[in-house]
Amino acid sequence: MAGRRTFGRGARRPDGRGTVSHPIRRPDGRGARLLESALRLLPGPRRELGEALLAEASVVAPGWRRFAWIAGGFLFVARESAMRVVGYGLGLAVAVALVATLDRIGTSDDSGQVVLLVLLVCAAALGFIAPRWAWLAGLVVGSAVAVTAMATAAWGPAPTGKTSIHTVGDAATLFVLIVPALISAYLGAGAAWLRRRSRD
Amino acid sequence: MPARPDSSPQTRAVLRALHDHPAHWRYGYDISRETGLASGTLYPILGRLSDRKLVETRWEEDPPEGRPRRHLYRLTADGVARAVAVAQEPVAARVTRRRTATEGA
Repeated sequence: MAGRRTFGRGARRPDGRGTVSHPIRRPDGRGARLLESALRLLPGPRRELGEALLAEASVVAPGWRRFAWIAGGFLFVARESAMRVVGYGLGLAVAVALVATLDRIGTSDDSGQVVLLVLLVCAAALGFIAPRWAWLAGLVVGSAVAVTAMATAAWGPAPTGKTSIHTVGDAATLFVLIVPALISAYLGAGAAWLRRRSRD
Repeated sequence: MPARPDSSPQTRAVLRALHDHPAHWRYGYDISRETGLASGTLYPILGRLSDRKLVETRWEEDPPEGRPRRHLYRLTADGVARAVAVAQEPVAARVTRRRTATEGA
C-alpha cells in the first residue's frame, strides 16, 4: 500500500465512534482528482457519501461508465451544496453592503470605529460559518471599504465633510483593513474548530 | 397532498434493492447496477434515507488488496418496515394515468 494516494478522513468505525485507523484509497484520474476537490463544497454529513462515490469510481469499468459515474458525482456535489454556496454568497454580499453603506453614511467622529467593529464582526461570523473560506471572507469584507472609497474618489461627488480620502491613491490605503478582517475571520474559523472539537 | 419523500420511483427502487437482501451490506455501485440509477441520483437518495434513519451506513473494514474501501448500506428496522409499506402502496397517480393511457391506446 505504500506510496498510494489517499483521501479524506479515516473511515467511521462500525459502532459510529471515531474513525478507523487506515485512510481511504483514492482512485486515479483527472476527473477523480477534480471530483475530490469538489467534494470540499459538500456539507459535513454529505461529504462521507461523496467520498464513497469517489471510492467506487475506481471499480467502475474505465471509459464511458466511469465518466458517467464521476459526472454523476459532480451532479451530486452541485445538488447538495447549491444552497450552501448560494447562502454563503448572499451572506458575503450582505456583509460587504453593510460595511460599505455604514462607511458611506457615517459622518460622526466615531463612525470609523463603528465601521471597523461591524467589519470585524461580519468577518468573524463568516469565518465561523465557513472556516475553509475564512480567507475569502477576510479578503472580500476587508476590501469593501477601500473599494467603495476608491469608486467614490474616482466617480462620486466631492466629499463635503472632513475626510482624508481625496484621491484613489488615498482610498487604496484602506486595503490595510484586509489585515484585521483576515485575523477576525480566522478567529471565527478557530472558534468553529473549537466548537466542533468539543462536540466530538 | 404533497408526495412522500420516499414515493419517487427511484427511491422505491433503492428501497426494493436493499430490501431484497435486508441482512446484507450493499455498496453504491452494486445498488446502481441493480436499479439502473446514475450515481448523481443514487447518492442523494441514500443520503436522504440515511438522514431519516431508514438506512444505516458503515465503511468496509478490510477491503481486498487492490480495491478501495467501500461505503456500505443496509436497511434499518424502520427502513425494512418502510420498504414493505412502500412496496404495498400504489404507484403514483401520474404513473398510473400514463400506464392507463398506454394500455388504452
